[in-house]
Amino acid sequence: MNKAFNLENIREDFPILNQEINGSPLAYFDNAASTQKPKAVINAIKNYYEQDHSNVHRGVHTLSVRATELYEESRTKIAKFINANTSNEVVFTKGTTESINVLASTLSGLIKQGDEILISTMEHHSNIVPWQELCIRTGAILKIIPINKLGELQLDSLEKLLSKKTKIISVTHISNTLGTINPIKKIIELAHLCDAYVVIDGAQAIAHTPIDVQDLDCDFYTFSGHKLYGPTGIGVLYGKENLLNKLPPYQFGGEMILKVTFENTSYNSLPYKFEAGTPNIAGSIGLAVAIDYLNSLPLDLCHQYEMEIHDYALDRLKSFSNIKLIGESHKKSPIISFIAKDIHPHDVGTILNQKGVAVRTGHHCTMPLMEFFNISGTIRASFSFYNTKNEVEQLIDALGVAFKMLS
Amino acid sequence: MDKKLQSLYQETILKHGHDPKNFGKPDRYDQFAEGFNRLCGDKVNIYCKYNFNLELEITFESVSCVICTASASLLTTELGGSSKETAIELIDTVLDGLHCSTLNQKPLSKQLTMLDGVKEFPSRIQCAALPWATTRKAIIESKTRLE
Repeated sequence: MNKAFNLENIREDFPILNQEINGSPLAYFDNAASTQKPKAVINAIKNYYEQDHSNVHRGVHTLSVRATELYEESRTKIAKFINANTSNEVVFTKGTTESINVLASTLSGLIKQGDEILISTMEHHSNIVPWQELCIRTGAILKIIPINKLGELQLDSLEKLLSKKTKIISVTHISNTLGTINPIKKIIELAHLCDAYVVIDGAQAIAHTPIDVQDLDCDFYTFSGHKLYGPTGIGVLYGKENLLNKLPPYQFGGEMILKVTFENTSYNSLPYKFEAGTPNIAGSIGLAVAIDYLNSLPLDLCHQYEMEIHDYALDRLKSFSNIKLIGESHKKSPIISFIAKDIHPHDVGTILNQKGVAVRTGHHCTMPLMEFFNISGTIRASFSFYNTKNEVEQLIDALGVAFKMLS
Repeated sequence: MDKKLQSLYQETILKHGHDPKNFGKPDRYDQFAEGFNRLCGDKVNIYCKYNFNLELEITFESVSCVICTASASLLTTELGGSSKETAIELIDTVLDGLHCSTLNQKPLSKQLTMLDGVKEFPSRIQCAALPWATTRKAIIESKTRLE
C-alpha cells in the first residue's frame, strides 16, 4: 500500500520547528544551507553515546564491536540509498567540501601540464577553489562551462569545450543558489566519450531527488549529511571501486594502514584507505538513521510537495512588482532566489528574521555566479517537505513589511 | 513596528543609506583601501585626501546594505576636516563601541550614536564597522604622497 503524506505528523518529527523567533512562529526557509533534524536522528546520536560508544575497528570488547557494527551498517545503508555497487565505494568524509578536496588532491597525480578541468559558472566555491589549486600545482587549465540568463548550463558549449585534453569535469547536480537541476546524466555521457572523469557535487540534490550512481554512471558523487536531515560533520565521497583503488590515500595515520614498519608502510583496502584517524562514528550513525527516517516517508510525495510549496511561493511573490527572480531554469528544485529593486538582500534578511522568517541572504558561496548576474547577492528561500503554505504567507507578509520600511 | 528594527533603521540611518554623502571616487586621492564583508560579499572603497593643512577629506564607493552605506556616509561627514591622528582616535572609539555594544556610552555625536541599533543584531555589527575599519587601513597602511 502506498504511504500517505501527512504534513502534521512530519512537523511533529522535527522539534526545532515548534518555536517562536522574535515573537513569531519560526518559518524555516534556509534548508539549502542546512536541513533540520528529526527526533529519530537526535535520539540515535544520544543513544549511541549513552550505550554503544567506543572506537571502531580497534578492540575486541563489546562496545568496540557494537560501535564498529553500527558504523559499518551505516555505510551499507548509505550505499543502498545511492545504489552503489558495494559499500567499499562509500567513503566517509566531513562533508561535500572535504569529499571534493579529497578528489582534487588525489586526482592530481593523473593530471599533467596543459590538461583541462571543466567546471561551470554556477558552482559553489567548494567546487571551484580545490580545482583552482589543483591547476596551480599541476599546470592544468580550468575552463568554465557557461550558463544562459535563465541559469541553465549550456550543453552545446560543453560539447565545444570537451576534448582529449579534458581530464575532469566537476559540476553541481543542483545549484544551491538558482535551484537549477543540471542534466548530469547527459554530461557524464559526453565526458566519458572523451575519457574524462566526472565528479558530481550532490550537496543539494541528495535531499530532493533519488540518486542512483550506477544508473548515472558517474565516477564520483559527493554529498553532506546535514543537508539530508542528518548531523553536521559527516559526508560521503562515492567513487567507483576501480577508480578509488587507483587513487593514493588523502591523509595518513591510523586506520588507513595495513602494516607499518620504520622502513615501509602498506595501506589498507577500500574504503579505509581514505579514512585516516578515528572517524565521525556518531555522525555516520545519525546519517544512516536520517536515511531510515526518509525511507519511512513517502519520499516521492515529499519531493512533489516541496515543489508545490515552491510553486505556491513563486506565485505569491508575483504580488510584488519590485522583485526580480534570479534563476528561472525549466528544471528546478525547491529553491527561489530573488532580488528587490534598490533594496539590499542583507537588510531584507534582518527584517524577515524579526518576523520569524529564516532565509539566506548574500552570495551563497557562489561569487562568480553573482558576477555573471551582475549583482552582489540574493534573498534565497529554500524549501523542505516540512514547510507549509502558512509559512509562505508569513514570508510574503514579512517581505511587505521589509519593502515598506526600506523603500 | 518592532522597536529593535526601528532602532536599527532610524530615519537618519535610512536617509544616509539611501542618499549617502561624499559618495564617489575623487579625481585624485592620497590614500586608498578596499574592505570586504566576507559574510555577504559587500565591498567598500575608501579614498582619503589631505588639504594644505593636512586635514582629511574622505569619500567612498560601495556595494553595500543600508547599514554599511549609512555608516560610511556618517564617517565621511564626521572625519572630514580632522587630522590623521584625531581621525584614528575617533575610528578606534567607534570600532570599540560597535564591537563592545557600548557606542551610546562613548563621547560621540548624536548621529554616530544612531549606529548603536546594530547591537541587537550581532550579524550586522560587521556592516556598520566595515567602513571604519577600512578607513583605518587606508590611513595607517597605505602610503601617502605627503610622507
